[in-house]
Amino acid sequence: MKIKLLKILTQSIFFITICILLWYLRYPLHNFFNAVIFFQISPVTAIVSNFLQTALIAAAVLIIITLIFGRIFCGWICPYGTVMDIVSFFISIFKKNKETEPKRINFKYFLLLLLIVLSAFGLQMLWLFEPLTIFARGFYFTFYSAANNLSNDFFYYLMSNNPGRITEGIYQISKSIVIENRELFFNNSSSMLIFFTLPLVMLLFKRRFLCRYICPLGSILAVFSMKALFTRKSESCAGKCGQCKNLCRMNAIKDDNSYIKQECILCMDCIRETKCADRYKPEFSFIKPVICNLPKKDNSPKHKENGISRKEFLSWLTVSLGFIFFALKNKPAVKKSNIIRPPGILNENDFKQKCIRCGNCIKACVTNGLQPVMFESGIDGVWTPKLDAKTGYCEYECILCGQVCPTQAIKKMTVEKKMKTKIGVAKIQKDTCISWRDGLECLVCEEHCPIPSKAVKVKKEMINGEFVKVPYIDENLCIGCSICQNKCPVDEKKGIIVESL
Amino acid sequence: MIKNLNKIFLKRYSRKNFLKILSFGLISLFLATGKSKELFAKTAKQLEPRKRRNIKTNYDLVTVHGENIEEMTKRIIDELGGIEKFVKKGDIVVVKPNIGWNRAPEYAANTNPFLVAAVVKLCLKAGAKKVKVFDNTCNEEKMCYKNSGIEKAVKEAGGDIFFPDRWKYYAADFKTPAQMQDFPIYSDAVNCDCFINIPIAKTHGHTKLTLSIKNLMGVCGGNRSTMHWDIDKKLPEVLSFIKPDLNIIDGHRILLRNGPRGGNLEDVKKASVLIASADAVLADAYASQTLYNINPENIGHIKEAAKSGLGNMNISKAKIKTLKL
Repeated sequence: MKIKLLKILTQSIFFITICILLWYLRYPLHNFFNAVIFFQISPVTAIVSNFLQTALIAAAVLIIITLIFGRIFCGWICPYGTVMDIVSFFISIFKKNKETEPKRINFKYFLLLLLIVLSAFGLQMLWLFEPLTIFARGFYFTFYSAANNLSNDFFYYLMSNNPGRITEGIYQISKSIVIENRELFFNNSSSMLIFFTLPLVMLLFKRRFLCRYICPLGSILAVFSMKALFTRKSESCAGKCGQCKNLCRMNAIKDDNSYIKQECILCMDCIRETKCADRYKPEFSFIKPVICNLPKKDNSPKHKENGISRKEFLSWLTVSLGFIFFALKNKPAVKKSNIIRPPGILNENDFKQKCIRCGNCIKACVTNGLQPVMFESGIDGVWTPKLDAKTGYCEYECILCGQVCPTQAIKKMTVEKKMKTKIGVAKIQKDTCISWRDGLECLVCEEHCPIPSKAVKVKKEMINGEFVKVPYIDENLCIGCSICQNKCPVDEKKGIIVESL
Repeated sequence: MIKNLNKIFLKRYSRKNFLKILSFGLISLFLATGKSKELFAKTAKQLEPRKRRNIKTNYDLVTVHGENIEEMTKRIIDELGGIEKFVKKGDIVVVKPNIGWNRAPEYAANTNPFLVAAVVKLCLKAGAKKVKVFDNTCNEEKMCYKNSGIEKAVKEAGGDIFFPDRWKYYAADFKTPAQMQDFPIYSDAVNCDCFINIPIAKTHGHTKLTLSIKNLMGVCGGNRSTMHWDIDKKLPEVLSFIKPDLNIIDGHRILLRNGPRGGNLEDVKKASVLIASADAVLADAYASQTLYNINPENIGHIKEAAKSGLGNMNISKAKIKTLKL
């Protein structure tokens, strides 16, 4: 009972801390206590970012913990694991848990291998399965934006109808600490929600479905937990009753009550939930570290079900080779996308390789200008950020997107360098611009242009028989921040449009 | 599920039950169609123009040259007749600086934070109940407030600085047909006892200069980009609606080129002057004549404002005092 309480407490503390970290990933950013460290703790981030120093240190900490305790991260810390546990709890009310011998649990290693091979060939798909980013995407683009917008609307309704002193006080406090003073909008958030809920739906069939068969982060940790010091002992029981086996949410316990060490996430179900005499109960304890001893030769017949059969392996191989071939063939050598990327992206392919689609940059963007794309930048660019002038613009003296990127796919820059970084170029649309078309004085684009000596310049031009001040672009100075397009008062089609380089 | 549905549809109803269900359905239909909104909605609140106290100042306009901004501010208001003339005990005061851009103070894109803090301190000293400071910014508001240094300065001075709330913008009732009819106005700017307008002198691509009349654009909401169409007519309407009690033009640093956003230190000139007047038009005319050497006749919105009788544009007729500290 004690350990159950301890586990629930630890899990909820970590879950709430991580949610707070993700919630406060916005403009006044704390230097150290921000969500970047949360993403960097995953070894996947270190691999994807070409072994970035901070990511490597954070991942090393996690791996050392794993070497001592085993996969404690999966069972006690991982926020998506907590979500899965909560959902499984509700499912278990009407569905009895029954497990068979461990089957196909090694699929995730093959998947990890395939993903790493693909990533070496220039198609990085780890982000699709990595649980931390799955959780972050679901949190940012569904939960956070919904909570923020709904509470904004709620207060708007409340305050415009009945502005009492207490409600106003509550509103002022929540405005300054909790919610943002703006409505958020994110493109394609429903597609992210689908990938957030799909593993949760699969929990109807198997508990911890993602952790058992897919999770790349879990399989990396599993490799390191093979020789962990903290192990389960169950010699006194032969497992005839099958209680432990059925309880195990990772399907790690075999028929004879022995267990597959790298599958165990230390949820402690098998010691706290079993109803048997104390002397039969399994227990967890530290063993002496064995470093140079060769393992004893195992004479017992191996369980074929642990891995996959030859037939399955061959079919997996053909499918994955075909996939690699298909993916590489469809990939143009130099991809010229017609979307505007946030500043700090030097090379498009390098960026797609490093981006783990955590959504940090999109969420942190102060103007809500960054939006996830779907297929505009190719099949390998799903959910990467783009600057959308419909919803926002690139703030001239802001370098937040580079600061919050855990893999440095968007480079961290100084403000001085960022102010000179070109991401696009503005073009006047002479058929829609109200000055060029109708000869009306407007010059909103010129007013807002952040360049010290103005990339949008003004000249006098003869329009409809009158001399009018009209804007024109100095393309050498323009950095493509899109504020001109965003603030352009022409509604239907903007009079100035920023194009990618 | 299907069984339950069958139960509902195959059950025989009594007349009473039938009427119950019918009325329930009709009521929910009524609520769903939005007809109910008309029933419960309050009549849209419209703002009345701000009532300005009738204040007679010692001079029409006072200018002070000097370096110490806090002292200059004190002196300039003393020459006009003292802060007590503008701020009575228990007043709610609105101080409207220019915090439009995400720029550091030395670029002269925003009002000098020392000036804002000095004005806030004076108001509080005169017994103001609350001093509100806000602006509807062009760039991201949190960054503008922080990088302009005004948020910190006002907080230290004891003022109340906040971001404008969406629900406090109301449609304005201009009494006469006005082009500004479609733009809501922030209610705090109208529901106050004293309105102090502290712009900074800058150039502007469209209106040539942005001074105290143009600074009042910060109390308007809506799609402010479209406000730029025919802005020379719209700005005087805002001025007639707000009627600031006091205008202090910050000429400590002024922007000579590439306004209103600036960004080049070469474009900034240290003029070291403050211009104060109860008459926004006069202050603007004087500033444009002395700081930029532009005849106010050539600046559309000043000329238009003078034409509609909102102030005096003729500097030679005004009673002006010049000081040097």
